[in-house]
Amino acid sequence: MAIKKKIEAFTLAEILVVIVISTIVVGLALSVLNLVQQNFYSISQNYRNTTENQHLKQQLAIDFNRFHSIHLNKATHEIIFKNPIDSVLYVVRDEIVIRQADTIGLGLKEVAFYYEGRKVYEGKIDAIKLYTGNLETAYLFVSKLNDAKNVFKESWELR
Amino acid sequence: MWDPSGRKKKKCGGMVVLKKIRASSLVETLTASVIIVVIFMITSFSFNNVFLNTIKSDDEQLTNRIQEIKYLTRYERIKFPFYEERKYWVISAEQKLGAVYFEVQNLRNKKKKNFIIEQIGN
Repeated sequence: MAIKKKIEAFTLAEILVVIVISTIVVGLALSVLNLVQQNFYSISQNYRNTTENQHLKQQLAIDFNRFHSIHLNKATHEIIFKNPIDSVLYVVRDEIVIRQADTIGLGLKEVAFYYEGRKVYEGKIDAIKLYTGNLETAYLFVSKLNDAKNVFKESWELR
Repeated sequence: MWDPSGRKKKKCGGMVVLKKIRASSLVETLTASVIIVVIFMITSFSFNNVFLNTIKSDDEQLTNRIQEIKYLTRYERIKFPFYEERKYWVISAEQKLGAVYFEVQNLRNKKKKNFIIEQIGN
């Protein structure tokens, strides 16, 4: 069957031009979307890291000031916070900090403990310095004031 | 074939759009897309600006360093006069009449802060 009437249509060149233009437009849109997505991902990552750091710092500050004695056990990597009515156990090991049943994965690089301004590795502590891996060269520092009981107990133990 | 209208029937050879489609002109579509792109650019710029500002105003590292210095000063582990220059801050301190005078300069937001620590032992 021969077609008697001419069908209205675009030429091949026109269609090709349209395809090329739409490809360019779609490519641009996709690259912009990719950029925006990366931006948002880094923003959310940064936000999560800072929030986690701040939460840990708050919790450490609360515990340092709530408990009377803080004792570090070198062998088990445990820090025991004690006062007459309550106690809390921290475990600082292998890049993570565990407080009771909570695990805080900060990517811990290094931990330093202090007692009366001196670096200590065991026993009583009154300050902690945590180098966290998610922030460059950044660390958390939490300390407490030692009360009179602590000093008296120390001189009593020395006798 | 008999046609009641009496008109000659038109032969249709292929697809013909019978109804006119309502549409905007090329200029209108282009203007709309340009407006959308402009709005998108403005929002992304402002959002970026907000985020950059939150990063700039974040002085957690400096706060931690100040707390550490305060702690070390309490137990006299720092020698005075003290001067420290880092990427984002400058801290200087000097001892006068049984007290330590600190001056902290935040280089990120150009803010200055002063505080004094009394030394009871001296």
